Amino acid sequence: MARFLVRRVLQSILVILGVTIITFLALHVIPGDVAHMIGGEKATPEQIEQIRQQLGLDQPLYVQYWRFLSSAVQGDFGTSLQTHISAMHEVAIAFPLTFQLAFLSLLVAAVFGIWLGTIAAVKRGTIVEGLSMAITLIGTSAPVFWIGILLLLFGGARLGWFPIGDVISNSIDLQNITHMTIVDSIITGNWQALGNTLHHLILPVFTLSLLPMAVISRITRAGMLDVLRQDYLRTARAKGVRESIVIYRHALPNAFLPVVTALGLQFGVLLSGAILTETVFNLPGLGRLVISSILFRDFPVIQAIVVVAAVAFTVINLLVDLSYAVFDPRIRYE
Amino acid sequence: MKTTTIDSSVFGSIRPRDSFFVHARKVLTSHPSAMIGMVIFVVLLILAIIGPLIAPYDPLSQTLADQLQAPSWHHLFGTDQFGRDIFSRILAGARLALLIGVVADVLALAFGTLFGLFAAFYGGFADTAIMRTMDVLLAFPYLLLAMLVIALLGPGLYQAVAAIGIVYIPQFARIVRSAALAVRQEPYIEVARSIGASPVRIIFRHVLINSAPPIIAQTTLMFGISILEVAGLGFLGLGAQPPQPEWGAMLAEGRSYILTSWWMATVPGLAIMFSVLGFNLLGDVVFDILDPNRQQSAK
Repeated sequence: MARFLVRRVLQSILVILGVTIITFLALHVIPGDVAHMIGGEKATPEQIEQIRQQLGLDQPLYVQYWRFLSSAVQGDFGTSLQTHISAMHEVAIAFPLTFQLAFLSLLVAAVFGIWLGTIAAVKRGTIVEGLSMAITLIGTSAPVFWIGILLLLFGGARLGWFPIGDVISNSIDLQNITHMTIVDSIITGNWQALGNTLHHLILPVFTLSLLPMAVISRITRAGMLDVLRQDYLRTARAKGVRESIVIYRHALPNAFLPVVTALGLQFGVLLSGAILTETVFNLPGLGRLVISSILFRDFPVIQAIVVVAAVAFTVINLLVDLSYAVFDPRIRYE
Repeated sequence: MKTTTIDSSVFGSIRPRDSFFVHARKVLTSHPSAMIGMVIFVVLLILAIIGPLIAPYDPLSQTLADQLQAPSWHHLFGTDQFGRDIFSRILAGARLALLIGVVADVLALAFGTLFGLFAAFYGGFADTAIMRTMDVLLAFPYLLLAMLVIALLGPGLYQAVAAIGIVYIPQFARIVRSAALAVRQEPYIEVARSIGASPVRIIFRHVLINSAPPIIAQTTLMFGISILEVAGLGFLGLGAQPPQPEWGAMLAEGRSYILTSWWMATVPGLAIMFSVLGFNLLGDVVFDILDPNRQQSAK
């Protein structure tokens, strides 16, 4: 186990190093001069030279990369060209909100996806299976931003059940500790804020969870169909074990491994989908930051966002790999 | 050597030519959902081809007197804030959608196949170098990698298509590599090598052809994915720019008018959903259609 752990962690570090190389090189493969691009067409030669020096573009490539990497490790990606504050600071405020949205959606997707998939497998040929298949199809085919708009129209505007825009009402006073509104309100025991932010998040979370819910229910269904044929289930039933225990204690845990893998991979999809969802619901977070940075060509911020997101994704997949041993005790990493 | 392998391969090669279509029809008729997918695909294709002929209006021409009209017989899907006919714009968008799917797909397929075949065939250092690079690309959340590309190339439809194509290269490389590795072990490759076929000939004539089914299945799914994701970039304002009648960009425009003119955002969304649905349904059975050895599972 220890050897596997070390190897897997080293592997993840290599992948993250690769991510930094690509993110760094991306700035250098553009046709033309980055300094010109940042300075814009009206920049004078002196301004261009100043930008070049500021970015260290007059140094050899490996020196530049080393400088980029050694400051990136300390969380320093330079200052935003747009706001002139630290790029990492911008990301540190925006990322927790996106993470909160993605994590909550993954939770909802996992619970309902596994439940739907199980029911679809157990009640084959019934209307429940049809319903679960329909949700799967819509979830994988409908654009997440379109579903968001429709929900916003009906749940937010027409019915007025849900607030439109923002993650918490302005009138609510909440102390910022982690920048995740739910965590902050729980830490400070501010239950009014918790209720308020959950109310704001219902529609976005539902929107974002549809696609991973579809994928998870599909995988659960396939896994369950496999497991349901096994002899030990027949044995359990023959012993007189209650059907619900047969399904949820004997069958489901054995169909779990591929679902766990999917959960990890879905997190990358969720981070991407979160950007779209945030734009639809006008929520603060990475989405707003990344779009404004791209349109402004704010490279330090873009690099910070990409590296932080890729690191988060890699770490989560590492945790998923390590969790296999928990879900399947037969797996012993040698 | 197992006799079953020989049987099935000989069986496959002496099959009369039309049997592919007969087989395809069997698979399609035994999967009603795949039939729906096929119908959606054909309708989309026809609309893309004859779209300009049946479109009642010019998709770009603005008639301010007709702005924001609800769906009616004059304007089947209503009009937008510039009085443009949404039905005509959806038709023009169908052509764009197919184009987006083809270009992004070809890009991912070409480079993915190249890398995958190279890695599988040469092994060793080439394999490690290529596949680890692909792993790194897979470590990026896909939309952020696409955005990194767009940050470099600037926003626009072509850039968005290129970005999505690049993002999916690793998926293809992985599939091609594992398919090619499996094929490489087959006796007929050894035979080809022993009669002096060049590596290039072996790769393209033997390995590639015989690892085609999973690659084509992925290509079909990728078609829907690229339409969906280029639309997403268009929606964010990073892909197609107005007045291009791209469905995602149209949806973004419709978002501002959702409270008063629901059709502006609803119709392009439905168009995206049905197209992607078609390719998803089709992608599920393409594998069965292409692989005669899997006829058992098709029935």
